[in-house]
Amino acid sequence: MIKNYIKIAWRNLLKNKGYSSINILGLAIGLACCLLVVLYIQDELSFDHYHTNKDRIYRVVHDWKEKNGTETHQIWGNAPVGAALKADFPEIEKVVQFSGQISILLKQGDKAFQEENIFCMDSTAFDVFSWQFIAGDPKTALTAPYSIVLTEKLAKKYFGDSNPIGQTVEGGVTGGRAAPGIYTVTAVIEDLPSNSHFTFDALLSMSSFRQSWSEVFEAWGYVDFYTYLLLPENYDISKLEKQVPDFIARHDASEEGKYSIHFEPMLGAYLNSKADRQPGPVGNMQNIYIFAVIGVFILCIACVNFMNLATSRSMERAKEVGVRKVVGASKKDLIIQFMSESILLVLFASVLGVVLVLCLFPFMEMFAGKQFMISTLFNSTILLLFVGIVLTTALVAASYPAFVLANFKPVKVFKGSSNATSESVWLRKGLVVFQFSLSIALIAGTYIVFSQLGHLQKKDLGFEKTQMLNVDFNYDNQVLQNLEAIKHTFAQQKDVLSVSSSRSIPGSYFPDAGTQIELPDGEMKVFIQAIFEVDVDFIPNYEIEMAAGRAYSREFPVDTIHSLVVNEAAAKLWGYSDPEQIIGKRFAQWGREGQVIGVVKDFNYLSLHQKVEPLTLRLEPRSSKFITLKIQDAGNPETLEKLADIWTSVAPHRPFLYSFLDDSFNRQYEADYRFRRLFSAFSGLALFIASLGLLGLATYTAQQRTKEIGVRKVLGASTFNIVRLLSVDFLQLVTISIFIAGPFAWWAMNKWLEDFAYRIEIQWWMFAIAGLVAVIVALVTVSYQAIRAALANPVNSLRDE
Amino acid sequence: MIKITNLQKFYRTEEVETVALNDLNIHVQEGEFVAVMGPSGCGKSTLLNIIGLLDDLDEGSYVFNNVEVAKFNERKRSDLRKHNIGFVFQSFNLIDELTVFENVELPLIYTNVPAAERKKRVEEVLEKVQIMHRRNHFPQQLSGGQQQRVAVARAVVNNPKLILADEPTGNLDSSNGNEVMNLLTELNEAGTTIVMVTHSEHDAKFSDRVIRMLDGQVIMETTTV
Repeated sequence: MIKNYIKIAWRNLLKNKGYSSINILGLAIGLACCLLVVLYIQDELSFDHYHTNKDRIYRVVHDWKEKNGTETHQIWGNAPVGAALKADFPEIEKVVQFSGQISILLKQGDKAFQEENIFCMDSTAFDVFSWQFIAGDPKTALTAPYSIVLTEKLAKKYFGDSNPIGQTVEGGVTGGRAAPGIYTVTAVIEDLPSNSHFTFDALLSMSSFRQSWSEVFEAWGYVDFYTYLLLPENYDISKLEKQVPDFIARHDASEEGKYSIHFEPMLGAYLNSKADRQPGPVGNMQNIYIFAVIGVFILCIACVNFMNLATSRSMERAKEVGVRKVVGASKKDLIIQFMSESILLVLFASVLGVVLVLCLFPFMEMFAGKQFMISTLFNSTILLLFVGIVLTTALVAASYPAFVLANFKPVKVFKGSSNATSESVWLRKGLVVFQFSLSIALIAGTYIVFSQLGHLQKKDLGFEKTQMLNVDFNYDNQVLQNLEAIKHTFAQQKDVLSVSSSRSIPGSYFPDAGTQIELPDGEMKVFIQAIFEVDVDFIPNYEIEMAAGRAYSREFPVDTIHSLVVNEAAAKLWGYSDPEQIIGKRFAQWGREGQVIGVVKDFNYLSLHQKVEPLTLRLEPRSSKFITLKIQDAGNPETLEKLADIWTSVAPHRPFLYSFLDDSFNRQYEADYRFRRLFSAFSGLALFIASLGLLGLATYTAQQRTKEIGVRKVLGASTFNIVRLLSVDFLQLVTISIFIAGPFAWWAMNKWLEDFAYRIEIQWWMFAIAGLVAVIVALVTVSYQAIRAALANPVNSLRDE
Repeated sequence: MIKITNLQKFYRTEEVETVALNDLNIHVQEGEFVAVMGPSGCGKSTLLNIIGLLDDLDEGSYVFNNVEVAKFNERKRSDLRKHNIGFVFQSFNLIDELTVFENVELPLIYTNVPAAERKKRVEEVLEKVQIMHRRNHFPQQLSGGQQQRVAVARAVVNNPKLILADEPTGNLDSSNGNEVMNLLTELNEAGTTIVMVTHSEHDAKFSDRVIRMLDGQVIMETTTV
């Protein structure tokens, strides 16, 4: 019997090639999208699971609570907490600490590169984390000062195929960690899996840092360390947390009761951590939900297509159903038959879907920022999930048409009376509305994502972003000693308009500082906030406007150690809503005392996801990392060449590492742009699948109404009349969809926008545009069939009566 | 074999209720060949569908082979049907996607006859209706007469006790029509009961008895000998 079913299914497939390919293609795309979403989500959820001790690793979160209720939580904190925890709590098996991310110039022979992704790490690292050794001894690799552990990538880069163990590299300054020196390679490990919440290219031994600058390891107020703990199996972390208040008190670590710590499991680090200052980029649970929903949407659309096409085609199968029933088929037989037919289609579609996914793998890097291997696909969880999805799809998509068909009454079929009961017509219409609602919601979503990211580009950031060239010299001592002379040499160039230097630039790393400023009532009050260390030229060079007072100036020698400039947010933080009021107030910061001399207008030195936070601009050119050149004609390669030549003449030991400020600033939005690419691709596909369904449906509607069209034409209807007759129904459905999709998309996209401090307002016409796109696509799809039907010779349609 | 008493059948649309069959009584003996005649719309086809358990009746009693079947549900009816009744239609109603052989095989599939047995029986019956040489053709490659012979083969392949024929010659020319009628007569002579709806007095002559209907009622019964 099954053979008979498959035979007839196969012949039906071949007989209706157009219908079959629409159906299979639509479903295949749906399944492919779904599979990609599954892969994406699975990868996001797999972060850090490769560590053998994954369930036992926790990390310290540092908490600061101000009296006014503001709380900050960050992963980056002080050093002594690690040793103190280990000493006080014997149940903590291991503590591993590592520094903030280090940029360092590494030289080996004639090779010199600035490496950006390096940490100083404790020797306990390999007891806690499971990184695979290629060479060297995990026990001793990070013990001795000036040891370096390279990843395979870096080992190849500096040593090619020769054995790097025991060889040396020369390391430059590290931004206040280890002093420059010669590092010995003690181990090579495999490159870190991409699903790690932080990655690095090499590790320096923490003892190199300790040897260079030991006092920070005792300072509870000095922030530059991440602290991870290895706890016993099944340890209840709340036991440890209960003892934290005593622990803090015992070590006198709390500054006026403001500082405390708590613990966070490492497995939640990538997706669930709310803390600031993470050691690596974090994921976003909300995006996972969004993509999960989109995946389900697309699959629903594809399933609906399938159901719609199958039922609308049922007229053609009606005779067969009638005959089969007459010769003895029971309803069950028929349901099984049509189910197996649909399942066959779904199987074809799923094979094609997998092929599609494999073809799309190379593009996943661009779309999702992830690389997938074919082997990823043959992971048991993925396979199981995919089989589950295919089976569900088969059941959902196949059951409805099967039941509809099996219910046909032979008596009616043979009489030729229409089987299109009003219910099935309503259902079919409902399904089209459902599909288009989802598509329109996705289109509207895409439009809103585009508008928001466009808004980020257009927003006035409060500083000059274009034509700003940043040269990164990474605190190099020789450069710092000649800084003024080097700046002067650059400023001499005719293409260079102005020059400044600073430690931080907008959109990149900046440290925090505890700063005291006099409150309106005269009390000195300390807040920890962001600090930009800049030179005299920074404010004018970046064209940052003053809200009150004045910027730093060479005419005021007092500025070098007794003046401070803050931003408007900082003025507010200390209680001055009018920036003029803070001018002349006393301050104390990092050993310097004096007066606040100026307030800059708030400029967006952070990404526009965040509000402008309080900031002080401290005059400290000797801490600089960057020289910023404002140039004209930045697109001209000759200009760049000339600047590079100058650099080589003034700092021959340093590579000319430059970036344009707008590029580096936009890099903060990489995740957003990726989200946009992914979102728009999925929306496009959803609309495409929905149109496929509409095309199929329109074809059959036109076929069913051939006689009606013939009669109308005989009675004098024009082609236009007919096209309108056939299109207007579908347009009505699409219009209804707009009203269903609108509120849903509005709600969902508002949620997404909440993640931006600076966001667009969603407007009603955005949905109108999305609707219009859907209407146009629907019209184009339907009218092709409608025009064909309208142009047909009426005699042909009436003859076969 | 068939005993229908006081049969009522209505057709309802939203506004009108039409009486299709009105207080109708019919008896058919086993082995009989009965022709049902009457003008279009008199209810002959409805009657045939009810006899064939394709349609249900609104009132009255229907005893088939000494069993009251008027209240049978769909499953029981289909069960009874596939073992006992064969159908021949005016428009042949062959499945276009199946070959001649597969069309004829279909009833055997639904009665779970093993494959080897199926092949034997289908070939026998195709031989009998002289269409064996076209066993691998699809219905649309055959003439009307050939298609109807296939349909008859399909109706009898399961050895049903009863064959219901709804204007079996309606779409055929006279020589093809006669062939089909001869086929039916042969089957009847071999013991199969036949109830045939027809417009043709010529075809009616092949039967033992003619039931004439008008407006849903039997108005006359004549024996043709």
